[in-house]
Amino acid sequence: MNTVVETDQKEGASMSFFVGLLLFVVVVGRLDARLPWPRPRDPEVRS
Amino acid sequence: VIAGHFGLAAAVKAREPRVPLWALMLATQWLDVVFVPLYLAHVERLVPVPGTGGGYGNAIIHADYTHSLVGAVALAALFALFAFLRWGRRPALVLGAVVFSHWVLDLVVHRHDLPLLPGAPAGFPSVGLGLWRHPAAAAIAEIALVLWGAYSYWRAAVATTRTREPARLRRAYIAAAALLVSGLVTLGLDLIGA
Repeated sequence: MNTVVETDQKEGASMSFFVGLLLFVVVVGRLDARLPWPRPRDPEVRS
Repeated sequence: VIAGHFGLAAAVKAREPRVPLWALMLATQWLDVVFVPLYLAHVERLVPVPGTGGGYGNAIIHADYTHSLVGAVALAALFALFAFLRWGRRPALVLGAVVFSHWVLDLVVHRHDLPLLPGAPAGFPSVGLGLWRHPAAAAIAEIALVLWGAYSYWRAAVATTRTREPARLRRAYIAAAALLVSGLVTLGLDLIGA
């Protein structure tokens, strides 16, 4: 029984983790990459 | 905490626009990413709190390497090294800090299951402030992180796009909306244990 509970719990945590990783790193990451952010090595502009 | 980590990373993007968002999102979950193969190898475990059926806030993690204080620092340094080679000093510092923020947020919610040293040697305490004992409060805190991150990101994305490429402002709205929806979906899945 404990094994079943542990497996269910882990699967629940796994789904939200992997779905979150897919959505944020891949989907939102690609959408964000289309925006005109400064590049990592661009010189910093000070106002 | 899953969605809350992403929310924090989105807020960091608003302050550090040079750092790619995908790298921030990967960094904020880096400890859990490394946890996965160790879990599959039965080196680290995640079990329900005794007397519960598991689910949101009712897990005890036995991640004596990835989620120890020293282990988190080492994983942050590893990620920062990769970032340094690819993007330079400032993104490396930011991404290293974001990796370590995972341990800090986990410290707030976890029960006493976060060891200080890798391998959790006997005699050394494990730590955790235990907000998960109050799942509603933990969920509210996590929602707040998601909303704060999405709002911060939306403001920064719109301001940057309006200044640099105003014709593409719609893209900023789409990215911000996708970020908010992703946070709510992730949190929803975590809460219902789906």
